Amino acid sequence: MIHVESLVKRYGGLTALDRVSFDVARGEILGFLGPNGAGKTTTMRILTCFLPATAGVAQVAGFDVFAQPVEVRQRVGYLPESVPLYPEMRVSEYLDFRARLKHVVRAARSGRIKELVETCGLGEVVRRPIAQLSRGYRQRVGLADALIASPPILILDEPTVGLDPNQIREVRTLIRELGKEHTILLSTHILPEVEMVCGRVVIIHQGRVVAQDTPARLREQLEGRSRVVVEVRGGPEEQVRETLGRIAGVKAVSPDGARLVIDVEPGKDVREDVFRAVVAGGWTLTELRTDAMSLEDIFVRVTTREDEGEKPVPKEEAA
Amino acid sequence: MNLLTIARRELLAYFYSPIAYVVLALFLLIQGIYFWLFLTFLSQPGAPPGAVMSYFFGGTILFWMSTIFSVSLLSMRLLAEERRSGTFETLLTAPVRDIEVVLGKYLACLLFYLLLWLPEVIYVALLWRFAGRPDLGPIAAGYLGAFLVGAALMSFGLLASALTRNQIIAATLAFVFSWALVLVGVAQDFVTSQSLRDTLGYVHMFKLMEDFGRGIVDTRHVVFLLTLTVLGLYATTKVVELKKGA
Repeated sequence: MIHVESLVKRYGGLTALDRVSFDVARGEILGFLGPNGAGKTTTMRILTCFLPATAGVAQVAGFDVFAQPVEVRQRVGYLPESVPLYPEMRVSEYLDFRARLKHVVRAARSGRIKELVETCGLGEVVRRPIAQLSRGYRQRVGLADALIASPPILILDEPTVGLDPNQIREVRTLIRELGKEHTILLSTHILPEVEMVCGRVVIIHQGRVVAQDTPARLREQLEGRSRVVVEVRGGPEEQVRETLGRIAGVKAVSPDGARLVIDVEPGKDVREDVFRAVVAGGWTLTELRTDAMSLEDIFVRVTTREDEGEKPVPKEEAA
Repeated sequence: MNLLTIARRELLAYFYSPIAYVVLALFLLIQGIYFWLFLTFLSQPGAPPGAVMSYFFGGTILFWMSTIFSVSLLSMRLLAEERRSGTFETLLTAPVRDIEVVLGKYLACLLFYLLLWLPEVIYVALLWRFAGRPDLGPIAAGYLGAFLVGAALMSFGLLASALTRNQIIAATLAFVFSWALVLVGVAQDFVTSQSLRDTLGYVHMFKLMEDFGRGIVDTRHVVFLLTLTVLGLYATTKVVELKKGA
């Protein structure tokens, strides 16, 4: 439904997108993941024909975003990150205006608005001016607007940002629900969100796609490099690190607070060797566990690879 | 259809904002004072001959002051506010064309501008009742002139609003654009070249409004004002195109 190929966007000398390519299949929920400023919003703005690209191909529902913008927009429901709304309008007036603008036929309009007020939980505020709404309600109004013309494709830019934990859960449930009928591209920098909601992930960093796969497969790929976390007492850290580093199958040992993180070669289990080495050294082992990589670690890994090489990344930084 | 949807929302937005009421009230007050001034002035013995309404529309700077004031204030919000608040993005990612957005907004402010002039019909009624029957032809021409001039200046007001996110700057720009357009013809008095004088005569807005006020509907004037309108709207559409995502 969405096809992006070698998309480039330059602002003056700055390259915001550097040959970005990905596809979103019909009925898929694709998570667009990246740190702030990675180029997520830029990509989404190009896909909604708000921003022209410098080079490359972008197609939505088979229509080219540059040549057939109105066709594309007709099929896309877009929720921009800042959820811009007209503060002076009432929720019902706003939805009515948006429904007209998106060519919802007159006969269906009020029924469709009622339906969305229900789905998005806007019942209490439907007569209130938007200026009086909380952030959570504004987000829902924005979502209702994106859905109003029942577009086959939804593009949601950071749909859960600024919501409280309960609202976040509600919105995620809603998105999963919507994923049954819509093709969804959603951006986020919150990792658990992707694992919970998305069928596939594109990780973008500094305008480049650095990884794309299902959350499970991404984890699998990188899980090979599983890690063992140990806490050792009674020995100088340097010496402990050196000893552990000599164990066959250990790639690197790095400190992480009071603990040591041991990077292990794929497929090896070094826990017994670690235990013996610690005992042989005359130290005490107070903790030993394997640490499956979360998507968060993967994210930090792929987005820092460039700057820091293959060095293991302390877990805290990922939070 | 999109155009009307946008115009409808924009008109409603006028009635939600205090600015529109302030403009409406001030415009009526100022116009009322002018009417009274002209009436008093022309009733004096030894006053130059002429109809009240023709002075009302042309021949003095007063018409321009109130028109430019209201055009600047009515157009400033239209696009600047959309860009400031970010609704520009939701608006332009809906299935609408840029030109529909521009024309929809333009239609709204033009209708509001007409609304400003509507109550002035009462002056004609007053004259009709108390001062004998004024000649309606020149009055209608005066209204036409006020409408066309407003339409032309408003398109540049909209352009000003497209150029910035700040309403105050938009109003100031609109004010400057309007006076520049109105005054360019006045340069006629300062040039020596005859051909340049003639050319400037075509775009002399003071003289043009004087003609309308006297009941002269000159096709050249009408064409000039319509050309300005189209030019302003075209430039606005181009600016909207350029400002997308910027």
